[in-house]
Parts: sequence; C-alpha cells; structure tokens
Amino acid sequence: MYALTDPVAQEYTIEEITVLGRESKAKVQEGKLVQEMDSSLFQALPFLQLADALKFFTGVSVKDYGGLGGLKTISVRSLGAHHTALSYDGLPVTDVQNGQIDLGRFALDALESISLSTGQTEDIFQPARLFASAGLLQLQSLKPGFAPGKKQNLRLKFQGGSFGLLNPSLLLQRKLNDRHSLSLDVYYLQSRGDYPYLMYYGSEGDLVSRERRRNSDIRQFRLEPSWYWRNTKGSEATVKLYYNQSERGLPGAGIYYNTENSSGQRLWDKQSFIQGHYKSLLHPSWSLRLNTKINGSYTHYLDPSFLNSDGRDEAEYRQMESYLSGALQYRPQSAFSLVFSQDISMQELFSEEFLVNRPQRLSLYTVLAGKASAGAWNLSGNLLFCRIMEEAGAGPQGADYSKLTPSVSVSLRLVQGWYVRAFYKSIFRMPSFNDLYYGRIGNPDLIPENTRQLNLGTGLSTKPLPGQELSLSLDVYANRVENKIVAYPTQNVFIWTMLNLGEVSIKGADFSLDWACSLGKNAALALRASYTLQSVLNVTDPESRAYGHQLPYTPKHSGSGVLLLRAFDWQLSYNLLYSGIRYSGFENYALNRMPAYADQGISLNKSFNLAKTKMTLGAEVLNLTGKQYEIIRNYPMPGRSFRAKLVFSR
Amino acid sequence: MFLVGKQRFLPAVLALVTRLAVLGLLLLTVLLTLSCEMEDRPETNGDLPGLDQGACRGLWILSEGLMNLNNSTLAYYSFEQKSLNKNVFRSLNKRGLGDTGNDMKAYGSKLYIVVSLSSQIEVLDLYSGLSIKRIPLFDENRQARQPRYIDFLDGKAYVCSFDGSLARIDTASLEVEAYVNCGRNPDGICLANNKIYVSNSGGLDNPYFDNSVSVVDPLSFREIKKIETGLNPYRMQVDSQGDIYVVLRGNLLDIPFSLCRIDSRLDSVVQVFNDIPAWNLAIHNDTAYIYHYSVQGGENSVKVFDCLTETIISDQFISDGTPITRPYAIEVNPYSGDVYICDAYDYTLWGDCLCFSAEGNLKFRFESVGLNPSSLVFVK
Repeated sequence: MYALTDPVAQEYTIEEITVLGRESKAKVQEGKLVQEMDSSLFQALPFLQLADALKFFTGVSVKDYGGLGGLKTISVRSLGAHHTALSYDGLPVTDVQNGQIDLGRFALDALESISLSTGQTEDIFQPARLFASAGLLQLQSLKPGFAPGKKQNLRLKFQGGSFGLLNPSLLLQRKLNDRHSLSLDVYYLQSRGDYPYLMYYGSEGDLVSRERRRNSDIRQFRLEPSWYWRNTKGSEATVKLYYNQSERGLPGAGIYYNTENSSGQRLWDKQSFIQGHYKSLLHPSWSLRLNTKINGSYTHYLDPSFLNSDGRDEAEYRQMESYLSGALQYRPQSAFSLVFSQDISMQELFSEEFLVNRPQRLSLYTVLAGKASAGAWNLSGNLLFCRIMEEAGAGPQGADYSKLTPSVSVSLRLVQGWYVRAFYKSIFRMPSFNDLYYGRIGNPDLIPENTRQLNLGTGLSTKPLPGQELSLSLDVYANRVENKIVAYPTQNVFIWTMLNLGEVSIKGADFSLDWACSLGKNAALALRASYTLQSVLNVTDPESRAYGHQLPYTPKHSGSGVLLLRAFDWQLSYNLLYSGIRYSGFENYALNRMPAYADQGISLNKSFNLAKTKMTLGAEVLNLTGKQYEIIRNYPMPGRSFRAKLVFSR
Repeated sequence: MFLVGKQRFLPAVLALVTRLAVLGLLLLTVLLTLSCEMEDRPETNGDLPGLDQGACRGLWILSEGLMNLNNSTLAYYSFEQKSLNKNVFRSLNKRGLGDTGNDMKAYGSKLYIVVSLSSQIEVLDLYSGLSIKRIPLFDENRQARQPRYIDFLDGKAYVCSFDGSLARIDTASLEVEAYVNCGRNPDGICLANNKIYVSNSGGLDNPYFDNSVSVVDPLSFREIKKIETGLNPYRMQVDSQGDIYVVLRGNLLDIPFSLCRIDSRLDSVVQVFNDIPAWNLAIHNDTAYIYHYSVQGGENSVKVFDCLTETIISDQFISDGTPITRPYAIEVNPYSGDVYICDAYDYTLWGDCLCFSAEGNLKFRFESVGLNPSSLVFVK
C-alpha cells in the first residue's frame, strides 16, 4: 500500500485516482457520515501514534495526558470515551475492566486505513457488536498486495526523535502462492519522554518555573503475524496473532512545589489475541461472514510512594475474552441487502482488587439490519437486541440487562454530488467491571448509560475546476446522555464512588472540508479542514449551581486542518489543531478556565529510488511554536520537538 | 489525472446550483465561527455582613480543592470593607497555594496553612496575607511526607503527616527542628495538659485501620504512649478540663462513626459515645458543636454538646431549618460566639460558608467561597 504514495506510480493511472479521490468519495458516498484516512495520507503527515491522526477527525476529542506513554482515549461528539467502539480488521476490541481502549496499543505503521462512523456504519455486513455503540472506529491493518511478478514486500522503518525516541519497525509480506500469503509486523518503541515544560503557578504574570517531565518513559514491543487465504470463488480467510507489551511511567499531574515525586507510578501491560475471519459467497444472493477471537490481557500497576504500611500500592489484573460472531447477508440485487448477525462473547476478570472474585459477563448481540436504495433515496436501519448476563464469584453482582435498540438513517441525493442525510440512534453502554466492582469505588447497582443521537446533515462533492475535487459536509446534531456514570466523591475528597448521576444535553455542528487539487503531472495539493461547534451542558440537577454549564474539558469551538503538497518525490505538510477555551471543573467559573490553544506541525519527506528499493527520508517538527498547553489540567503537553525517519521498502 | 471529459455533460444549471450551495455552506461556516466564545459564569457572593455581625475585622477561609488539580484557594473576608476576595493568596503572592490545603491555624501574628499534597507549610502574615516562608516537608529520600494538621505550643508548631511523622517547627526561625514517628497515617492533632496528641488513622491501609492516639512529650520530643481508641481516629478537640474528644470513623462499612473522650491526665479513653456519630466538632467555652453526615442516607446533623456534663444539649442545633447538604467545616467565632459551618455540596461544586447565631439561626452566608472549604480563622 505504501507504493501508492510514490508519484512514479502514476503510470498506473487507475491507482492514482484511487489515492486522491478515495478520501472524499468514502465520505460523501451514499451520504453516510463516515470519515476516513488511509495510510497514504497519514504516512505523509507527522503522526506517530493512532491518537495523533484521530485528533484530525471531525467531532472527535482526544483526551491526551501528554507524552507517548500517556493514556489516550477518544470521545465522539462529547458522548464519552465508553461510547466509541473499536474494531480491528472487522472484529471488536474490548476491555471489560475499563470500558475504554488505550489507543496507544495501535501503531499507524501497521494500518492501512482508519475510519470513523457516527451513528450508522456504512457497511452493515458486520459483527452485531459493532452496532452496539454510538460511534465506531474501524482500524484496518495492511493487507498484502503484490505487484505482478513480485513475491515479497519488505519495509524497514527507523524513526528517532527528541526525548530519546527510538522506533524501529519491520513489515514483511510473503506470497506463498495464488491463494496463501503471510505477513509479519514487528514494532518496537522506546522514549524517555523527559520533555521540559513551564509550570505556571497562577495566571499571566505570576510565578513560573522550568521543570522536566519525569517518569514519562515508555518501552513498547508488538508482534503481529498473519495468514491470508483466498480462493477464486470470492471466499477469504484470515488468521491473525497479535502480541503487544509495554512498560511505562505514569508521570501524574504536575503538583505545585512537589513535581519531583508527585508520581512514580509504573504500569506494565500485555495484550495478546488470536482472531480469525472467514467470508464466503454461498450463493449469488447469500454471503456468510464468520469471526472469532480469543483475547487476553494483563496489567500490573505500581505506586512506589504510597504512604501505607507496605510503602507501595500494587495491583495486577487479568482479563480473558472469547468471542464468536456469525453474519448472513441476503442481497438479491445491489440496491437491497438484509443482514442477520449474531455475536456471543464471554468476558472474565481476575484480580484481588475487586469486591468480588472473577466477575464474568456473557453478552449476546443480535442484529437485523437492512439497506435499500431506490432512485435518489437510500435508507438503512437496524434493530439490535442485547442480552447481558453478569456473574460474580462472591459478593454483590451487577444486574442482567436486556434491551432492544433501533437505529435508522436516510439519505437523499438532491442532485449529482449533493446529499442530505439524517440518522437517529438509541444505544447504551454497560458499566465496566471497574465501575461495578473496583474495590473502594465500585457500585454494583449501576445501570447502563443511555444515549440518543439525532443528526441532520448535508454533503456536497463537486469538481469546481478541472483537476480539482471538493467535498464539503455540514452536520447538526442533538444528543442526549442519561444515567451518565460519573465518579463522585461521597465521603470526602479521597473517597469516591461511581454513580449514575449525570444527564447531558449536547447540541452541535460539525463542518468538514476536503479539497484535492492536481497541479500538473507530478504534483498535487490536498487540504482537509474540520470545525466543530458544540454545546455540551450538564442538565442533571436544576437546583445545582452547575446546571446548564458546559461539561469539563469540552470546548465550544474546536477545529483542525491539514495541508499536504506532493511534488515529484517530495511531500511537504502543515497541520493545525485548535481548541477554544474550556473549563476544568463542573462550574464554568473564571478560576476553572483553561486558555485556548493551537498546536501546529510541519513535515518534509523525500523519496529516492535505489535499484529495487525505495528509500524515504523524512523530518518532522511538532508543536512548531513551542507554546505550552494542556488538554487536561496540570498535565503539560510537550513543547517543540523533532522527529526523523528513514524507510526502506522493496 | 482527473477524467475531466466526463464532466462536460453536466448542465449549466447544475453547475450554478452547486456553486451556490458551496457559497451557502461557506457563509454558514463563517456565521457559526463568529458566534461568541463561552463566557465565564458569574459567581454569586451572597449578602455581605459588616463589622457588627462578625465582631472581628476579618475571616480567612481555606478551601481544599480536589486532589491533583492544584486548586486549593484561600479567601479573605473583610468585615470592615464588606469585601470578599476568593483567591487572595494568589493575587497577593503571585502563585497558587498548591494541592489540597488541609488545615489552617493562626499563632501569634502568623497564619499557617498545611498544603497536604504539595507537602508544604505556607506561613503568611496574619493581617496582610503576604507569604513569609514556604516550608517543604520531605523525608531523607525526598519523598513527600503529606502533612495533615497543625497545632502550637510554646513557640513551636507541630505538624502531623501521613507518612507517620510529627514535625516540630520553630515559629520564630520557621525551621524544622526535629521529627518523631507516631503511628500509621496520622490524621489529627491537638494539645492538652502540655502534651501533644496525634491520632493514627491507618487510613491508607484500608481496611486495616489503625486505632491509636500517640502521646508525645514536647520536651524530650518522644512518643511516650499510644492510647488505644476505636478504629480510624481523626479530628480531636480539647475542652477546658483537658478532655480530648476524638472522632472515630470506624471502618467505613459496618463499624459506624462515634466519639470518644480521652482524659489527658490519665492518657486513656474514659468514655465512648456510640450514640454520637461525628465527622468533626468545634468547642467554645466548653460547648461543643458536632456535625455528622451519613454517606448512604444523605442525612446530616449538627448537635450541641456540653463538655462539662458530657451530655447532648440539643440534637438539632440549626433552629430555622436552613438546609446543609454536606457540612465540611465547623468553627466558632471566638469574638462573637457565632457558629460558622461550611457546606461542600457534592465536593465538585464550590461551597458556601454559613454563619449561625449561638441559638442556631442563620445570620448570613458567603456563597461559592471555594472548592471544599474546610478551615476558618478569625482575625481580631
């Protein structure tokens, strides 16, 4: 897939159109609300981790605690991190303990494309579980593709940069015969993360001191061997093994006058899974997709400066999941399809930190989905039935839950290239095992958090001038979250409990623009911009002083932009992330206000052809102005930093 | 290369419509962008009282903030000028207090603030609020001790910290002179009968709480005794007879809160009050005002107790029905006899400071003074 970035490949005319046109097509096609970014774009930009790329999707806010090892989660349209499902090669990635996935586990180098859907997904022929979230982030790994006559693809990449960043990776793809191919992805990352920052003890004009972020290191290793099979009748199978381990320091909030040892916390984690996918055309109108997965993870946490008798706070957690999904599609003609999908998943957690031992959850998801198009109309809808059954070894357990939730979306093509669309979706999220059972703050009486989304939008795809493609989209939405699970201090500021206490009213507008312009035979310019306006109000208790205030860490205005210029063998990019003011507390008081920030970056790549190998050299500058900012209060983001990369592919 | 030729068949009308649509969308975008940025919400202050109501010139209110947010603040109310400055430490000293200001007391002409997670003692001038010195409390491994409460005797300040230590600080030189080890996770301090008492909560070993109060002799600065109390001892207050009333928090599950009394001549528990659950109390002229709240039930109470007869005078101090959601501080204004109670609401919203007459009627309240207001000091 990396071959597509090479302008020399324009000899293959069809491929080049795919590269530049694909991003906008995917978005406006059938008027669905899907955003996509493929590897030809994110490899050309200064993105190292998945979260870096996600910050440039419309309507997404990334909670970033700074540094490469910091926890990063995404929230789509301010619904919260637990409401976005994640799928890797079509299978759901879950974490029953936390309810949210740390995106640091997925490196961009292993991905072919990232796609984010809000509400309804475009492809309904999916595991049922992927219908069970308000938003879906789909990660597609690099599939082997061999040019005629070629039997092997190899890519070696070295990245290095500020604060001790070292990141070698290897991708090997081998074609065994017309049916079988193998791939191996090996990835290693280490970084000291000791970036300097300024500690502000007040506001402008108050005391400032220079500090260095400590205990912010990370070492990560990932191994992903996969086997691919296909036959001439359109059947396909994939088996993938995945192993990821990391050790990192958790630097903690920068506490005034105590930055040196405000945190020495360490975290070790390992995840591994084996997943299989099989699809087959049983009959011209009937297709089958089977997916299965066994998934295990281990987490070890340590706080060596905890002032208890042991002088430390230590915990270990183990999770296991077994998952099976079958989906059947009936598609008598291209304009109509009906899908039945059934998932079953068993999740378990082992840890001494929990009120009960070995909590288990058995989840059944059943979906009936349909898609139809007639003339200029496109209609799709689904009914999802969930049955969740909890089991706990000893002690109080969470309640079983059954729910039927609908989702419907419709789009209308007004004229060629101009759509209007609408969708409605009602869905919930189960409390995680942490929410229910975690030692001192778990609450087994929690009920699921519920969301309702209504979206109205329009998308336009046009070719204003020869050689240019422009896509614009504007969506306005209203969402409501009920029974929001929030951690609240109940006895004093040290003792917190999870409660179903929140109600949030969200109204917003997302605007995005995609413009691609061909500048002759050897050059092209691409611009992506997005802007979000949102009002996310706490409407839990009319008597409360925080009633009607914007939720913490939610700006009213935010936006991003990427500009990429490709000319001959060069690629030059500029990116901008903007966030307006937001508040770090429930009350929108002056003292809680955090200033607006803009983070800009540039990158420059050059490719060389040496015999059969293509070499790419690249340099990147992150946070160009070096102006310090925080996403979460007291967790400073790095200032200006540099990265360089060297890639060999043959 | 784009397939330009295929576009020739689009009608001119379509091209116009498309351009208008693009313009329309761009215009809408501009309009949206021009819509204003969020504005800070106004903070209400309440009706502000004058000199006659307070009988003193000023009141310092310390708010803890929340852990890891560096948002502990100090407020000052001037009865003379009828003005409330909610962030006076920062505006005077050009820097924030730090994280979790846990205790505040005056001694001589200085005001001492114990900032627990920043592990510092801030010493201010009592009348102006200007910082005189900031004393860090770290051990020999440069680990934060996490100081909790402070009290004074004979020109020395004594600070108990979560790491088990009791520090002695000279109030003239403002230097730490010595440390002595007490029990696990000290969380309260008081002086009686020329001795220093430190309550050992063992809170960070939850559920294996400690159950003792250490007695330290100020001259030798050694722990001379450990008095066995109930589980998880906390705040302590002394009456004129040298009786120490200790709040016992139980195990936060089935063993409930209670109060017990230590006789400082015998240095042992002489009475246990199982029917008086308490979080905190304030004693003035041998009358104790005790508050409690139940996490599960949400009920709370403020009781009046006679320290000489050791009996409850009133089960319901507040006589005018003023509701308090979560009492978080209690202090008696020694110059007026009024009882001040702070309400922390749900710990995430800024709290109020309410003033009641000795008869239990609300006189005035300061609104939104800070996040989790927990300590009060009156200035004459």
